[in-house]
Amino acid sequence: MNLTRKYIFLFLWCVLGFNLVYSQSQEYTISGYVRDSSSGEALIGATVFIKETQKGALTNDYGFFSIKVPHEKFTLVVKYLGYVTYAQTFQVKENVKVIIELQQEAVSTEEVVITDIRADENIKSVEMSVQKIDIQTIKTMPAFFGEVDVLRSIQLLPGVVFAGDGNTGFYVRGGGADQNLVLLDEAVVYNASHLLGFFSVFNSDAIKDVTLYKGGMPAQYGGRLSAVLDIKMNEGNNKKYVVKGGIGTIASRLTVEGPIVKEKGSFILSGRRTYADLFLKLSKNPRINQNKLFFYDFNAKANYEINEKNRVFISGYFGKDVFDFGNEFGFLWGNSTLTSRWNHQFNTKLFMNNSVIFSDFKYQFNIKQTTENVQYTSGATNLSLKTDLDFFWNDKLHLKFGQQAFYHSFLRADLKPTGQSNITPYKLPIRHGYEQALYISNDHKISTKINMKYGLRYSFFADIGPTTIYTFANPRDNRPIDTTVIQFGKILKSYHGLEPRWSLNYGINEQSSIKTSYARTRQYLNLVSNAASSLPTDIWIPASSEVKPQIADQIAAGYFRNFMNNQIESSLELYYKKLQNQIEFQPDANLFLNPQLEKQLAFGKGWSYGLELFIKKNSGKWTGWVGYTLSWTYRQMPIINHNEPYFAKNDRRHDCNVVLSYDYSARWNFSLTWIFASGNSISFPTGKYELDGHTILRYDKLYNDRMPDYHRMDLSITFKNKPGKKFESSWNLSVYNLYARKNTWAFRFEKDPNDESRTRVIKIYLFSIIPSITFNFRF
Amino acid sequence: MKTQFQWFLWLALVFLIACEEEVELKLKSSVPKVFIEGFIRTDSLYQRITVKKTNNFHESNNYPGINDAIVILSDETGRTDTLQNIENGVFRTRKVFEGIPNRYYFLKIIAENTTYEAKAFLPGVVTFDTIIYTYVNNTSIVREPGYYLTSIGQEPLGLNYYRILCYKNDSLFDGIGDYFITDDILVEGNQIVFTLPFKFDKGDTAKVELWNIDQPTFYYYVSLIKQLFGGGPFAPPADNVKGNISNGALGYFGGCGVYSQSVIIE
Repeated sequence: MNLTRKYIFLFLWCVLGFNLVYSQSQEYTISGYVRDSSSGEALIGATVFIKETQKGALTNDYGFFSIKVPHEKFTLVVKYLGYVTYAQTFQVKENVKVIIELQQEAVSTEEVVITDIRADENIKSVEMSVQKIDIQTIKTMPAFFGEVDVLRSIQLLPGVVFAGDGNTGFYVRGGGADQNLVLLDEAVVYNASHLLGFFSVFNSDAIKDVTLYKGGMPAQYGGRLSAVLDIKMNEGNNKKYVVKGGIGTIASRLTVEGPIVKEKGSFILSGRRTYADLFLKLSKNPRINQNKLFFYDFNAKANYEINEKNRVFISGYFGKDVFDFGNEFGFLWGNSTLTSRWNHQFNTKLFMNNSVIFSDFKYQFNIKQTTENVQYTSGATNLSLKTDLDFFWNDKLHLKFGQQAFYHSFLRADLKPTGQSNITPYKLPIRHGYEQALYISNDHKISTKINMKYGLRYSFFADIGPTTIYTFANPRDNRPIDTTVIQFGKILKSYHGLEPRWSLNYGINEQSSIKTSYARTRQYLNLVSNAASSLPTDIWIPASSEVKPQIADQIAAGYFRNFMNNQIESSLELYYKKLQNQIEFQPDANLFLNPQLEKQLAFGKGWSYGLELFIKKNSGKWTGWVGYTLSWTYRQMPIINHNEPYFAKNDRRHDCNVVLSYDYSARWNFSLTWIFASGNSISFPTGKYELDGHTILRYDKLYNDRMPDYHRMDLSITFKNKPGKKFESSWNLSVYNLYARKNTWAFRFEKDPNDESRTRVIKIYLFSIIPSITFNFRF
Repeated sequence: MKTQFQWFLWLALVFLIACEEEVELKLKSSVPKVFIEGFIRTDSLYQRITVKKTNNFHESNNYPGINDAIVILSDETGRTDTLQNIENGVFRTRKVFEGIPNRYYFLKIIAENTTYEAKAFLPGVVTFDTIIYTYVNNTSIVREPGYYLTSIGQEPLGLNYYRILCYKNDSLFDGIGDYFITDDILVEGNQIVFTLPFKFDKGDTAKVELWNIDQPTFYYYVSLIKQLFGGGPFAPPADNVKGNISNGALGYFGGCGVYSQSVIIE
């Protein structure tokens, strides 16, 4: 095993760099990029510091950093989890630009003593309530139908409450599924699920970095209340061509990446498709074999370094889910995103990124019958312009500031005949919104023990034209009595507010620290759903004169402690969150084609508090973590339970996750996860009666009962084939729900068809044990 | 190897389908509440109202009627009738009490010392021109081969809501999935050619009944159907069916303008 060889690549570019006017002291700057040595991928959040002073910075989203260095000899150290630490002695007489390439650590079979790895990052970092999962960890977790899933992995973290089988909506610290900002290369992903929530839209082969903010959200993020899931795509190997993929029992994927110009530019193309419906074709029953049920997605990215100060990127995602029942009913939906970016480095200290981003979500259903052929479409689109500046002022101050402007369009409903039909076309007017945010944030190392990050975000939202406003006589009417056309740019209603953010880290000693944070967030778009589970038919409703923006305030405090020389990380976090202007539907709300949808909403408030315990082992043959969350989530709505506080539907008292990974040898890996979630809040009937000959359920107090507890164990076994000269491959066996527990998905209360005089309770459960096999390859 | 792989794949697919089983679930019980149901119909000479009490979930489906209740029906013009109890929980007008359209009707019930009141509007009758039947042979997800009815008519102007019922040999299609409620937003003023999703066989007498209902009654059916289709995570959150009766009684008092036509499938 080539364990001890350390390769250090250093490209020294002596350039007559800028000396900033105010930099009077005899200090110089080292700036540049940290990259992976084998692929050239930028490493995000790598620690760069001077050994002698312990002062430094983290690389930004593009791998860029800038630090002040003394004029005597010093040792520059660069660390990143999973990579061999770089250390090099320098003495400089002017500003210097570098590109530092880190080599990936080889897999070891012995216990490795950890002194080099950035394992104390959880103690030192000023951020709290944040979880970064590197993609290598995700790939070793048990897969579902052979697919390793980013969203499923997120749900194994404390504070992220399990949403239910077949549901990749996730709830963070009492927040709803629509209160999470999901970003793929800065583009908003409206619906992150395929196949009714069984898979997420993220192909793990195309992804580099996954960061989840549960609280203490930095000022550059906004627009959603509860959490930010920031996912960054791989840029593509800029040194050599790589093909990798997997063939599995339900889905397959393929990725091709390589340089455009060696070490100056690269591209990556990734695709994935399921083929569950091919099995349906094996049936002789024409009612089954004509159905289509599949999803596909496609990720593409290219980047090119124009010169040492400028780099451009373009990335996109396109995916679709298709359900087709024998050509009579069809249902499809999908997201598409396109991000184009330009990085510009002004000088050694100031870095800028400009992005133009397009994001779209659409769903459609089609009916084809002899006398009725119609198509229904609904969706949301946005075009945004983002500017982010990174100013590495000095070793104490790192300033970030910028703006985000969004132009939103909402297609609420568009129904039209596609052939023989009775109906007249019906389209609700497209609504538009303009959202603008400005932010400034500072990372401030106040003293050796105290580190602060404080910032302010200002956000503005306007409900604007072009659109058409209808006036109705009654809230339930569907025929307007008056129509007004609104011109482009005319503001119907606007909202704005300040969102202060701060977090503080007090380092008690090398092994432990205390952190606190506060964040206020505002959300102008609401995803309203008339179901317990998130569906693609959920409707996006922007803030308007009838709908106020949602607002959240969250404070958190935590104690972070490492043991055994950073081999074991642990943390205990407490949080309290207050939510305003929460939305619920009136009980008999009719969503379909309703031009007065906002009148069917009710508003109230919510609050949540809890405790999160996390213990993680990072190195050695056995790695993994245990996470436990104890939380309470309440809502209060005038239309529910006579305005008494009640347990929100996403209230789960206990949530416990165990993830264990065992590297038996260089070729065998065993991985186990166990999830336990206590039942969520639900309404069960307390009696029954009869209307129109049918049994009708009676409810007295809503959300007064609990679903049964959920628990499940998954197993994953990976076997790596002997690596050939160019070709690497592995087999993976995954078993979902190892002990085949029939976890309740829902209950149905109905009259017993075998005995008219009684009613019965039916338990619906989704999965028993599901094994799957995938063959993965890379060359 | 190939056959083993195929078998394995089938096994994997079989587990994809959601499964069901009956379970015992402890449910809370409640103090029985009064529920009232009644529809004034233009095609009835005598009107009926049901007055009963709810049961706990695991009790029987035979709901106890409040047979000593006082049930009074009246309309805008002052016509009144005190209904008589004819069977368990069911009351019928003593005299002929026609459902005369385009007026309000009032219900007053005194049961177990509590007064319950409700008001309903009886809309006018909307007719359709003809029903024709055609044999449909092609295999389809939703339709088995058989005879299907198409009704043709002119939708009147104005805000209208409808319920359509279908009878096969005088027996109503009354399953949960047989509800047909619609507003007229998509077909306002059009010539309607509508194929009904109920299958008939040769020799059957098919009857189509068109109810003209008002907006509150339409929304009552919306909430009723929503509850009947409930269960499952994709269902709306549970809640009571909306009613229009005072003092906390469950149930609904409504009116429907009824028109029907029959045809024999030859």
